[in-house]
Amino acid sequence: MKNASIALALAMTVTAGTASAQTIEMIVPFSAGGGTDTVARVFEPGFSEALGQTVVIRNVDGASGTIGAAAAADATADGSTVGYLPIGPLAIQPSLRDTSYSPDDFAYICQTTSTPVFLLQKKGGDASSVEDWIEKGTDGRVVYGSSGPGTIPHLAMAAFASEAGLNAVHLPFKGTGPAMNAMAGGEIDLFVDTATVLENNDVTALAVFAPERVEAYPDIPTMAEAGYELDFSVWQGLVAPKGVDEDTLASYSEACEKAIATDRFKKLADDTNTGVMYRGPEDFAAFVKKNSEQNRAILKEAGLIE
Amino acid sequence: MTIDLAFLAEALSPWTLLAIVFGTVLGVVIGALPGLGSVVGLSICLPFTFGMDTVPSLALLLGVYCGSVYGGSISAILINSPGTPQSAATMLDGYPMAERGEAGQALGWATAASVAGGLLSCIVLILAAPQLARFATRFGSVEVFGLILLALTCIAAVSKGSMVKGLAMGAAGLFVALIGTDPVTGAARFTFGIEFLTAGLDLISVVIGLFALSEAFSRLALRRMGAPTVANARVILPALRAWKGRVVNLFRSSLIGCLIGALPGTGAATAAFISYASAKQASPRRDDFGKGEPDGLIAAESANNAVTGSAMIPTLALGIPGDVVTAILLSAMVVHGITPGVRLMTEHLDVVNAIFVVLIIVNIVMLVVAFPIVRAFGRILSVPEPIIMVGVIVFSLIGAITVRGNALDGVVAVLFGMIGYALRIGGFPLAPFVIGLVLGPQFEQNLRRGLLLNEGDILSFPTASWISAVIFTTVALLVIANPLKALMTFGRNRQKQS
Repeated sequence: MKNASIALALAMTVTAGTASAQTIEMIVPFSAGGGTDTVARVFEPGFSEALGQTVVIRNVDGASGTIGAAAAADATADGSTVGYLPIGPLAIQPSLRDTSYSPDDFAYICQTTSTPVFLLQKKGGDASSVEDWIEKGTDGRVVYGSSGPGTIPHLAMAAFASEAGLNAVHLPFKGTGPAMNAMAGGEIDLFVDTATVLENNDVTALAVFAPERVEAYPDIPTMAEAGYELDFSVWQGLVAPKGVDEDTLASYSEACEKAIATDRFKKLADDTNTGVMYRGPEDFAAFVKKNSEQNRAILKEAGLIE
Repeated sequence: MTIDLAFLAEALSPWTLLAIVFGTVLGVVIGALPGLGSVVGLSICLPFTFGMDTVPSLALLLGVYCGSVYGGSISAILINSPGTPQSAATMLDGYPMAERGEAGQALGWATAASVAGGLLSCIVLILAAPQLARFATRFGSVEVFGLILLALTCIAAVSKGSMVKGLAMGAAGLFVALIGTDPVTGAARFTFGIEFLTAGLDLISVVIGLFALSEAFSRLALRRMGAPTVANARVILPALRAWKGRVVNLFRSSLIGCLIGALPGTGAATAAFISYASAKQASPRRDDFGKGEPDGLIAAESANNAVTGSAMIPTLALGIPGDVVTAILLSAMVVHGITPGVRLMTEHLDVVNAIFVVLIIVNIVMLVVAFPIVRAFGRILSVPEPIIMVGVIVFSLIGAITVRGNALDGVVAVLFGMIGYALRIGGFPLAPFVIGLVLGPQFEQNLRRGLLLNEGDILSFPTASWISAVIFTTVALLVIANPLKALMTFGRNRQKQS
């Protein structure tokens, strides 16, 4: 028993430390069991099968995913290391802080998901529309939560608050869970997050931060309908360190497209209200660039960077 | 009302029972090894659950979780280094007892208190999950800040010898917790341009460096060999009559654990310290705290194990994971197609009921497997001490590195091992440092949210709600109690003299 656990622990460190030529190491910049990790672990078997190579996931946690992203950017560019990264470390954190890498240090393989976010309030409150909150926010104040500074819940709300001229207070929490607790207790008025959060908590959605209404929620209006052209989503994708040769990139991108088309991946996407979205290397690179610039502008507007 | 008992069949199926036993044993062993804690244990097991049925996979994870919280106490008592941060408070009285040659009794108290705390929290979970979950939502940032203040008074309680040294260490712990990313602005601070530091120091690496490594260093360096450990360690459960006068403490500590566990984002380490501090105030044997007093062990171990059941309260009743551990459990549910959330208790009552039954069985299994596992540890500890200490060092480093998958955390552990060694020589107590470090992030985040909400007016905190009024009054009373007592004894002595 003890030996088994020793062997397991050793095996974990050994596999974490070495990546041989035929094994691809996939860095996930958050701990095992988190949202990104769950998707990555369902993505990995399809990707590995399509390539015919073993893929090993390595969780490198810390500093909102930037430690893992830095590890992916610094890896040898021979195709033996890829990173499964979400929006935060790719398109927000490099603007917020001095990270050792920038979005230009990656070769983009493919985008895998894109999930729209909703404006949420506690169920049964006296406000029932975006307009109600604009009124409250201009007469008095609104308090909104986030899962941390520089996260999408924060940026989307900050952008809305500045466009609508709200007197808004931002309360950052350590993750969505504690923030939902604060919403249940009435400490925060508004929160922005995905449909998963909407489904799992006692909250209602007032609007979706997307150009068009979402198929699964036809009754929920867009922010644009309330007069604010705001488009926010959380997304993930696969990257490699810059310098990986074109052939490898193309074969990985092809395998990625197959992986997100597997039943397993689609089922997880359905179960977790995750939107499957494929973008190839060039489209994905262009998207990240545009997204980073948009986010940087919001951070500046919110006074978080100069 | 008819109750569908189908869940019992699933909760008592051979596969589930096997998963419980395997998970609990693995959990206790992982918890007892310095550096490998609940999160590492769950992360190791999570991939295996993907191929299992829902209830057995939850049983495996719950076994690992509860087992690891208990397991930390074994190394806390036997080798003076908490196997997990949750057991840091267990060490305060556990190790002095072991030094007196009462390791068996200490393990017995810890085991009995853990099982009792775990079972009591199961009862609370079954009877009052929805009510307690709703009550917990009334604890906003200001109220939780008050609770953290309450826990910090524990620093005074554990400052053996010099109060000044204790407070200095507590402040140092709070300061080290500041390293990393500002929780409100996201700016990097005290990182000196080193990217690794933007993630902050990992609690587990610091704790195993400070305790496990420094213990190993000091034994190897000072040749403090044959120190009074632990050959033939075994669990000696306390006799029934030994509980006389301690049952109230057990219940109070378990209830503290239940309440803290139900608050998202606090956790077992905080619960153990708050419980220890309040037991130190209430116990008739308070002067023996820190010198090997079973009351201290009961307070710490019943509270941290009570958290295991009650951490499920917001998770099951509201779908809100309170910490990384419950988040991993929730992700195991998601993989099995169960959407956790406010409707979990209505839509998947069978799974929830099975979880209740599993939790109860886990606690009973824990009581049984404690005996052989402690025996095995005792046997390991009877090999020559240098070998044990090298083993502790190796395991500590593996543990430190695996938590976040970063080798630099191993460097941090070694550095804090040396710092801890120096502090031991200087007679500085290490426990206050860990208290500051564990509570620091919550202290800061709740304080700053409270200030943001109240436009920077800290004086409005005590009047924010009746809960905060109660908490802040208690804190104030605790703070003035000791100086007042000292003043009164001083006055009485002067009267006698004159």
